[in-house]
Parts: sequence; structure tokens; C-alpha cells
Amino acid sequence: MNLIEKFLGNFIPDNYVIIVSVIIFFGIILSILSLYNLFIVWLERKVAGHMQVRPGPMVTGGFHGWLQTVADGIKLFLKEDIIPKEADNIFFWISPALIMAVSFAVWVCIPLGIDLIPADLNLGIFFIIAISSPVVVGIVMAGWASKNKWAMLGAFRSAAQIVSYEIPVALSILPPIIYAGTLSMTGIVDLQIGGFWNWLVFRNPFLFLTFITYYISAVAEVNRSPFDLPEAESELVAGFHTEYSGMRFAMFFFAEYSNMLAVSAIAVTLFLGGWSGPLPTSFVLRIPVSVLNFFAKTMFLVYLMIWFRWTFPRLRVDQLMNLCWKFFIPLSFINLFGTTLWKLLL
Amino acid sequence: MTRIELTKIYSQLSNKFPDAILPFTLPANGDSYIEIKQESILVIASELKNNGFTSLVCMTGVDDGNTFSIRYHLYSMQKKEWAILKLSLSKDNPVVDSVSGIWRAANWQEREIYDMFGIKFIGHPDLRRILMPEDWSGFPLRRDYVTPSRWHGIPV
Amino acid sequence: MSEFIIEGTTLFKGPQHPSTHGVFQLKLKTDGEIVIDLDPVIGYLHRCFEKHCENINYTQVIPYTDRLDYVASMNNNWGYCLCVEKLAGIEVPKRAEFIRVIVGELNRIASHLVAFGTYGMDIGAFTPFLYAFREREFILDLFEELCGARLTYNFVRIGGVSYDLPPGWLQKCLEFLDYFLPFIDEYNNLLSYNKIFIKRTARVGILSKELAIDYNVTGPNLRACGIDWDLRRDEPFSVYKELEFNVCTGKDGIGVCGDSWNRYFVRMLEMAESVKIIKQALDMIPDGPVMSKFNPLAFKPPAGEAYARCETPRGEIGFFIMSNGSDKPYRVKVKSPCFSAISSIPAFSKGLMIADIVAVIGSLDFVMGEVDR
Repeated sequence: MNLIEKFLGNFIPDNYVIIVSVIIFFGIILSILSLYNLFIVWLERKVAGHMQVRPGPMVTGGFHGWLQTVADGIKLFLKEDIIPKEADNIFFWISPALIMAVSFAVWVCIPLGIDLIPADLNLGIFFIIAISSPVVVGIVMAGWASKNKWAMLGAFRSAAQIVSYEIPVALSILPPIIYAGTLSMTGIVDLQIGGFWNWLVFRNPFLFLTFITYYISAVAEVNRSPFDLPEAESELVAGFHTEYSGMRFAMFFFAEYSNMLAVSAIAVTLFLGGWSGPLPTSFVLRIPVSVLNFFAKTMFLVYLMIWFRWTFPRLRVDQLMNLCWKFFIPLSFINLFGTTLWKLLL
Repeated sequence: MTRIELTKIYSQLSNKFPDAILPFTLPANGDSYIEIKQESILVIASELKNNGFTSLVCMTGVDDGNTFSIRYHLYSMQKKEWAILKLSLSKDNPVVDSVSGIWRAANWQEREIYDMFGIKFIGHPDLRRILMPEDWSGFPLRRDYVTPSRWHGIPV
Repeated sequence: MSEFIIEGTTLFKGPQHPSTHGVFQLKLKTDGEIVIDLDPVIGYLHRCFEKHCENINYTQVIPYTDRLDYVASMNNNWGYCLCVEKLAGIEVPKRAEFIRVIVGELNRIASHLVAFGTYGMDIGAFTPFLYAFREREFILDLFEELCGARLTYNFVRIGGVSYDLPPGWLQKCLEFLDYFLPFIDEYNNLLSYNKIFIKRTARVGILSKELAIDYNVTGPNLRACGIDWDLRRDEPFSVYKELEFNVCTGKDGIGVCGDSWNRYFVRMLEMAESVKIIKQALDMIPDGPVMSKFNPLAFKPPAGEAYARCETPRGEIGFFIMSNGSDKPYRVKVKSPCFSAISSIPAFSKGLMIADIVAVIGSLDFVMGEVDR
């Protein structure tokens, strides 16, 4: 029972509680993600600007261009919707929607704070891995339907990359599960309550390595630099979304940034204590503090990704695959094995 | 900068190929050049290449009025020495052997001369227009060239 | 045994593509990510420079040379003026020669900064670009003070330079050099020694010495192959004879001779050498006139022809000028270094991946304005 279900239970019959609460949660997540997207795009520009000895957006809205993203968002939504003549209309339509839907669905099982989880499935993390897979289908669809060779190449790269990096990601999710002994996200967070030394990442060296592996693989899975090959602008123009413009491009954009938040949120939940800590959640304002904890840590990881992007050059396709298959996957197996032994022997 | 005088290289070449080379005069001003016969370019070019003239620095086509001519600016990096060949072609049938088999740099240079003057190079692997559009008519750097007013309906 | 015939996909990289450095097309025949054949197509920026020159007088050609290699206009002006001076036998005053060296080397630094920045962008690192442009801005400011323009200077003239240095300019130039020198290390830390950058560029697109000479590739691209050749030292024009500097060549080590990393790194080394040259020139610059006595309006070089070349940041630009005694050149031909560099691409980049092709054409650092003319 989550917080909203408890609250609703006072007014409406039990049969409808779940449906109503899911709708409310969907609204909450949609608004959180929209706000987050407005903020993160602005932040990315500012961070990029300051890293590149320039101020970034400064004019729109007065204070440090805080309205810039809003203005750009309005521009994108009002733009003419161009579909190439040769494009496959249906798939051209579906793919951004599919990718965006997936980026929402992940949030079903992530505890945002104390008792704040849309659906506390008992195999939550398994659900997340499963539901995030179709994003490849969306990307390949986008590339294929565009009838553009660059888009197609980008889609192929993306498919190869996401499918490959899903292995180290999934293998890196296993050690904390083994250590915690549960697939439920709330169960994993409950285990980490009470100070940062209880966070799984600090429990044993293998879990620490697992966290690093997971985070880097996750950066690759969401196609962020230095692994942004599917949309490498100097090679493939814009990769799989070359032909997209206006609102549909905005949807890809939205999905990309939401995915960044999602993988960071998973990392925070599994390794960095979820909503517990660094601020204590057992005294006053328990729920707001827990939400703050969760988003502060998540945003820090997202910030790291932005930092990567403006620091590193891009890898080549074969180097990317080598890194995955020859380094991360063996490392993940070592982590898995090590954590299992640790759990058994200690 | 001092001008390039080719008396030494001329005497070497004219001893070896007396038939292939036309008489040499030092011009009053500017660089001198060795004028050679059209059909002997390949022989002389490979001889020079073997003598250390490894780089074909520049190939220039010139419309001299009644004839076309081509300059080959050759340079030897070891000896720091120049060799400039001049070759005259009739305007009716400007055809010459390609030296792209001897210096690869000639490949694109000859394409450019073909593009600008319409001089054909025999044995060139890939003689196409290079700077102008493929369906352009006329050769722009000829002195009697008249610029077309339109190309595919676009004002030139 | 029957042969495999790979049909492949033809990709048209350009003329509008983020990493073609201008309007340039590469027809790539690819098998997946691997490029099995490629054909550079140039001519999209053809502005009939050589045809124009038939109809304008000698001095009027100089602004057109600005537009050849618009990243290093000073050196192009210089190359053209060298050739005309050779043809007409004009002596250039000593002060003008030193000013030419100073502005030429400053422009070399500016041009190599652009090369460094854009190469970073090609490899996927956006940030170095802005760092490079931060310092380039100072050079452009110096040039603006000198001749009023920031990109197309039209500063070096036949027989000298157009204006004497403004008061205090030499001091500003010296201040800039002292400010600039430490930044080269910053660039190296930022990009040159980055692990990913080295992985992407070292041992990629190796141009052998023989091929480089055969294709007449010149300048930093030639030196990166390990050939110790610099026009400024080996066939000195202007006052380079009196100045001391090292010729930077590619080395085996992080990369191998002639690979993309060396082509890039030679440029980084050359910036420091340019600083050295300018500092010497600032010390040695004499007083005197900056223009030899001749009337540009009635300028008619005697009939004849001349070829002169000049070491620009991209290699040796050669001008062939033929005069028939009138006030207009009979024929002007430009031998562009980038033209040779582009023509050599198919010889050594077959079998690379698409991303490597980007690394190779970025490292050759060509400017299409000069290739297409």
C-alpha cells in the first residue's frame, strides 16, 4: 500500500483505489518529468557553457536565461511537422511515441520517497529491465522508417549498442539483488536505511565495482557521450532522428533526458540508498525529505553524465563493442561471482 | 626570390634526348622553361623522376592564343632543384599522354586541366570534370570561352 | 574459388554534412561500417578565381586571394605577392618583410587553433573548440587593429604591406605571445593526450612517406609522415633565413609516423615554434618604410612567367603567374596544398570505418575555399 492508495482508501471503494492512484501517479510523473526536462536542458546548456568559457543562455527570462528551454519547447511544438515523402508514415509516427512511452513506464517501480511508489511489484527491478528493452525497437523503427541512410546507420549502431550494453547493465543489477535477497525495489531500499555506510555500494568492494560498471554501461545504454555513436553528429549527422523535426524531435529529446534520469534513479535505488540519506528521514518532514534525498542523488548522477559529455571525445563503434564484450561483461561476471561468495561466506 | 634557371638540367637532358627537346632560350624575365615535344613527355618525365624529381609540384594549362601549353613544375627535394617543362599542343586536337602513372599528383591536376581547357590526357585512369558540374559545356579558361547566361535555368 | 563481390551501400557524405569542413562531398561505398571505396567530389565552392584574374589588374587580385584559404588569408596574400614580386623583380623593404613574418606566423597560430578545435569536434569533443577560439580572438583583435578586418585582411601588398604597425602594437603582440604559450600545454592536456582521443586517431589513416611525396602532400601533413621538410627553412623566402626555429615532424611513439594523431600533433608543436619565430622577429624588426616605391595603378610587370610558393599553415601554396606586359595577369594558377591533400585521401583510407574517415579528413585540415578556388 503506498501513500496515495492509503489516502484514497478513505474516500472511494477499494476496487477503484488502484486505478485512480495509478492515474494520479501518472500525472505526477508526467509533470515531474516535464519539469525535469525543462530544467535539465537548461542545466546542460549552462554546464556546457561554463565548461566552455562562455556563459550559456543569459537573456530569455532574465535570470540566467531560465526561460530558454520553455521558449525552445514552444518553438518545437509550433514547428511544422515534416514527414519525408518516402518515409514509412505509420512507423515514423509510432517510434517517438514508443520510445517516450518506454521512458515513462520505467517509473512504475521506482520508489520516489517513503511510501511513494506507483506500484510496488515484488519483482520490480525485473519489470524495469523488461520494460526498457523495447526502446531498441523504437529506435530501429525510427531509423528504418526515415528512409535515410544516415538514420539507418544510426539505428543499426544504436541497436547493436543497446543490446550489447543491456548485458552488463542486467548483470550489474544482479549483485545488489543477490545481496539484498529481493527483487522488490522497496525491499532493496529498506535494506539501506540508516546512514550512508548501509548503502549497498559501500557494503563490499564487488558492489562498488558493480556500481561503476552499471553506471558506465547505463551511460552507454542511454546513448550519451562518450558513447553517443547512434547520434554522432560529426559522423552520422544526427543518427536515427536525422529526419525528425518539431514536436517529434522533441519527443526523442524528452525520452533521452528521461532515460538519463531513469537509469540514474535505478542506480540510486540499487546502490546509493534510494530515498534514505544523506539527510535523515526519521525525524521531521519524513516524506519531503526522502523525496529530496532521492532526487538530489539522482540529479547528481545526471550531472555526471552532462559532465562526461562535455569532456570526452567519442569512441569508435568497434572500440565501444570491445569495451562492452571484452571488459564490462567479464567484469560483471566477476562482480556477480564475488558478491555471491561474499554473501555465502560472510 | 631568384628566378629559376634551368641551363644545367637542360644540357643534361638535351645530351640524352637530343630529338625530344626544342632549343632553349633564357627568357629576359621570370622563370625559364624547357620546351619539349608533345610525344616525348612520358620518356622525359620518367627520366626526370628517376633523377630525383619526385614531386610534381604544379601542372598548369595555358591558352597561348594559337596553341595550348602545359607547364610541369617538377621539384627534387634532395637536390633542391627545379625542372620546368613546357609542352605546346595544337588547339584543334589537344591530346597528350598522361603522366599520372609517374606522379600520382598528376591525376587530379590533369583532371583540372581537362576541365578548364579540354585537353585530353591519354591513359588517364579517370578523366572527368573536377571543378565544374559534370554536364557543363565549354571549357572556361580558354580565351575564346563565352560564359553561358543560364545553366539548368539558373542564371550564371 | 569464386570471388565475393561486395556491393555495399553508397553513402553521400556531404556536400552538407557536419564534418566535411566546407562544401565537399565524399562518395563512400560502405559495407556496414567499413568503407570499401571512396571518391572525393570537389567543386561545390568553385568561384572561378583563375578566370577572374584574367580581367583584373595585379593589385585587384589580392582580395581574391583572401578568399582562397579564408582561415589563413595573410599567408595567401603573401604567397601571391611573393610571386608577383619575383616576376617584376621588386625589392621589399626589410621592415615590411618582418611585418609579413609576424602576421604570417600569427595567422599560422590562428589557423592551427581552428584546426585543433574543429578536429576535436570531429572526434566528438566539443569543448576544445571554444578554448581554441578564445585565444584566436586575441589574434583577430590584433589583426583588426592592424588592417581593420578580422578574416579577409588584404594586408600584404605587392612590394610591402599596406600599413605600418600602429603604435604599441608590437607590445600588445608580445603580451599576447606570453599569454598564449602556456595554453598550448592546456590544449595538450585537454585533447592531445586524452585516452579516447588517442584511441580514435593514433594508427588511423597512415599516409606513408612515398605516397605523401607522390601526391605532393605538403606542409604539416608531409612533416607528420616524418619527412623533415619545411619551405621556410629549406628554401627560405622573406627573412626566414635570419630566424631560428625547429621543423616539427611526426614521431613514432603515441602514434606512428603519418597517422592522424601525428598530423594533428605536428600542428600543436608548430604553434610553439611560431611563437618562437614571432618573438625573434619582434626583437629584430628594423625601422624604415613598409612599401617599396612603385605605383600600383601603373604596375605592368615585364612579360614572362614565374612560379613561387609560400609555406602556409596548410602547406605550400604555389602561384604561377604569366605576364604579357599588360597591367592584367595573363594567367594566374594556384596550386593549393589542400587540393593535393584531398586527392590523396582514397589512396590510404580504404578499409577504414566511417568514423575513421571523419578522423582522417579532419586531420588533413583542408579548407574548401582553397581547393575549389
